[in-house]
Amino acid sequence: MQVSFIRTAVISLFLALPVAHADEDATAWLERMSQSVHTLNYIGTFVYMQEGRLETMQLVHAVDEAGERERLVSLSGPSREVIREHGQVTCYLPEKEALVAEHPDVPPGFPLNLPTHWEQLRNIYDFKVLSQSRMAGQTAQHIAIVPRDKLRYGQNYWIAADSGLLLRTEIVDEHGEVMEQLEFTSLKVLEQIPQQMLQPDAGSMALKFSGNSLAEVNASQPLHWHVASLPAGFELELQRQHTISGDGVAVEHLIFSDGLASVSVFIEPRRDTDEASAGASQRGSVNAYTRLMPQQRVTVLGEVPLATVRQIGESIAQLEQ
Amino acid sequence: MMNNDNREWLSALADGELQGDELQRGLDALRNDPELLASWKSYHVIRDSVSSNLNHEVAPQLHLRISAALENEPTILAPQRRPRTWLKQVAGVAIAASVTGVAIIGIQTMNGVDSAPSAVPVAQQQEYLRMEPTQLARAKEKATQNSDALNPYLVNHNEYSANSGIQGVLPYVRIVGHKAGQ
Repeated sequence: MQVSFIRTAVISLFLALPVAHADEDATAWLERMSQSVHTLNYIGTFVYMQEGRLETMQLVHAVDEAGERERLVSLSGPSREVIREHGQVTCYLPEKEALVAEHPDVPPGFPLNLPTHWEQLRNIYDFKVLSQSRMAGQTAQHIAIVPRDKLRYGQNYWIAADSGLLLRTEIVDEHGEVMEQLEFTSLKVLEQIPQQMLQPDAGSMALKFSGNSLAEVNASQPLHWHVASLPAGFELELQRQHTISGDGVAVEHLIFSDGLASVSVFIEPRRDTDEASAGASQRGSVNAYTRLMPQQRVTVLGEVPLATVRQIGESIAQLEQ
Repeated sequence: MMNNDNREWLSALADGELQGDELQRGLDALRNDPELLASWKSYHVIRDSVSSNLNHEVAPQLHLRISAALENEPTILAPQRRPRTWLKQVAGVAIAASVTGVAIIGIQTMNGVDSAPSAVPVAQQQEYLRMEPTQLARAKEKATQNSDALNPYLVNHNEYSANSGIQGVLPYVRIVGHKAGQ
């Protein structure tokens, strides 16, 4: 709570500064959206499109003294949902699928809440304030983020002028094609969210396992791994160790970010069954690249083009101890 | 009142069959037409009820009520369907293979109401059509496993991604929106 208070204060301070340029206006809109998304109570229904497929989902977000509670649930097809409560994430997926819980140690909003990031971001992205339009019965401001190279995706946001909430977003690939779209068909800000709106659907329980953070080390600790060819603008943001599956084996997790796009690198002991998992895979705008090393399996994953995750995966090497 | 064109179009949109410009036009129409938006919402209630995905504790009689209502409004349940995009793409292979019966199994598996054909690349779908049933089941299981294996990584990544900072829980749509094992 204290962290979120400080964060809100920092953002408010930043918003109070006079803005002179269009790109600063754009970043002020994005800061406002980031703040609204985390601090308001709201219920919305949206459509999500990727790979030519469309899904309808509902989003519920509530904030109280204990922190944020969010529930994302599919309205079409079998019951699938994600509940994020006070920093713990639980995924309820169809039967026989694992339910994943995680205990992150950083506040939501990482690492975007520092205005200093914008200076750095302006070297690799252009920020634009575009037209206003109506959607879900509200006035929306279109903000575009356009990358200056092909190593990251572009983003379009339509932000509600009244509440600052996100009404529509698009992810644009390196060829200028929209690859993922999300748009609210209704979105209401409420004083309070009924408790039952945040409960998981009965009957959707399946297997359960928890991933507890074993240890967290910050980026100033000596790194055992080195990425020889890190794409321009990306820096190591965080390094941590945790378990990722039920067997309690520690996974090393490195997070690289250019301030807007993030790439995770997971390093874990190689298993006999890993042969089939090597190579590239994709989920919406998320690309993953798995590389098998003699002792380890390296999985690189992020909302960036395949070339970017591959470049990181191919150039990572273990430092001499 | 909705005309038949709209009805067919809305059903195609809900089933994720519209792409590119068509999809964009569809969304623009939804955005600007409150009546269409209301129909869109009812369509989902109807579809989920028919496929029994509704929580019956919440709406115990809804399924029956809707089924009864549908008898007076059969076009919503059985709209004239445009050919599915993926079907067009694999049609040639399917016809050639249909004598073996394998193609029919392939199509039924991929053509269920809630199937997710686009989760499987077209080349892979064509590969499935050439397989024996047991081979087919094994191959599909493997593809699903590989794709599902990303979920724990995605959860861990999302918690630290800058996108989660500005969009909250929304990056999780990639997990919720992924219909595994179908």
